[in-house]
Amino acid sequence: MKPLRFLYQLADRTGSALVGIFADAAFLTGIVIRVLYDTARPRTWSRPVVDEVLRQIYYSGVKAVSLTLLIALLLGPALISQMLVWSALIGETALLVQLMGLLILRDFGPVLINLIIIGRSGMAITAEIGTLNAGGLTRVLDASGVDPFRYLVLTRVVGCGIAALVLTQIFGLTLLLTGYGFAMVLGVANISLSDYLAGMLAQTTIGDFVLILMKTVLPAMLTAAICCWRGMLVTRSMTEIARELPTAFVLCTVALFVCAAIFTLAI
Amino acid sequence: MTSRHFGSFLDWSLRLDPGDLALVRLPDPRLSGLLADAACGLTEITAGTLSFLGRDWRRPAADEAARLRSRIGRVFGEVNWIGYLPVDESVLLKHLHHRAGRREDLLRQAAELCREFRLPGVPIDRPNALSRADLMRASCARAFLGQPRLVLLEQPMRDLPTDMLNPIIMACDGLRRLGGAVLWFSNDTRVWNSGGIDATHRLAEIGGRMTPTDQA
Repeated sequence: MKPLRFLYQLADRTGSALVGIFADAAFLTGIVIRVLYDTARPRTWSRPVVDEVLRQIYYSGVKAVSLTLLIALLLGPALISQMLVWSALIGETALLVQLMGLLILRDFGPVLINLIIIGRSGMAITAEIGTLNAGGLTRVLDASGVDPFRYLVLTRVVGCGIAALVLTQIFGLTLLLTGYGFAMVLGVANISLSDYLAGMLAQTTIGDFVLILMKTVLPAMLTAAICCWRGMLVTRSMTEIARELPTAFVLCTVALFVCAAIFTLAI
Repeated sequence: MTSRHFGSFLDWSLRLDPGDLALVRLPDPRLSGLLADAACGLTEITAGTLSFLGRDWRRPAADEAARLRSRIGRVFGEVNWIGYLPVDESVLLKHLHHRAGRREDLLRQAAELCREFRLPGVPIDRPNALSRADLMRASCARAFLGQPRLVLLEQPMRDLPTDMLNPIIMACDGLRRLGGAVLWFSNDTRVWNSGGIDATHRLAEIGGRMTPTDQA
């Protein structure tokens, strides 16, 4: 009987876990779909909602520019160093620079920027929403006729999506220019900047642009949605926030890599 | 209406017509929040009806319900200011959210109300920079802003000196003249003993029912 009971328990727990995962995924998908639906409705865009989106762009985007620039500036020389190693083995220096640039723009950039969004903004959103909810302020908003979903969730989801998109562009451009500048200093750049950029553009397809857009914006929106969701689960005391932060971080990171894998395989 | 949230407590029937003011005393002041939530359609009831402006609160869709709630002014009993927003933004929030007027006009009206409640103007600081009394004054200004059809006052004198009673009564009278109604929850003897409040209903919870009373 014992092995049979163990099997029952195993099946029960595995099933419960799977149902939980699918329920959470469906819930998050629902949030994102409602955000997209509400975003398309002009009625949503009242002055306070616009202000709140701008505030989120400021905190997630503008205030993260210096960190993004710093990382791009440090990675530029690293990119060129790698290129020198590989070109010594393979040759075709110009092609290698373009390919590595594309690799970083397409794959590494969106992931890195989303990790910045998760660390800087996601955790702040969880704490902020958790504090508001535990303090009864989401109910105050509701009682005042202000839809908490639109005012608190939609604004953060849209704001993080826009911030991630802009930060990825800043990151990519800075990285490419820094890399090219470092190569010039070392005297290994045997093409002009315009040829370098034109060559890179020639290697880029419409699919790449769509991929960059999806890999950048969707994970950032999911990060904000997950963090709002975990924040809303804080109902009684502020100490619950400490419990929700690591959960939010893990979920956001998993969502990021799942998105990256899906889009890379799909396009 | 009867609500399971209140256990054996409420089996309450009250109708407020335009111009009415009901003064309600509850044994537990926290119940005022639950009843005010009920008046805003945020409480699930087990029997009876809850309606506002002739609309049953169970019927309207979310957007319609939000629009109806925006016509209700409320002084909340607990903490009710968003910490990261300046007070003036919080005061205007629901009106701007529902596009109930131009920002400049609303700000002018809010400033007049704040002066009536003995503030120099609409506070532009964040809530943590203001005293509890000043926040309560701003809360009163917010509740009466935009000619609401119903104002819910949850223990508004809690953090205020006695001389603030008169401005609140005057604001209530002004609103009632314009066709609004007021539901004032108070256990404060200063309020119940005040001769200035011309209430159409004076109610107290006695033995599980709301009973007309004149006693403070």
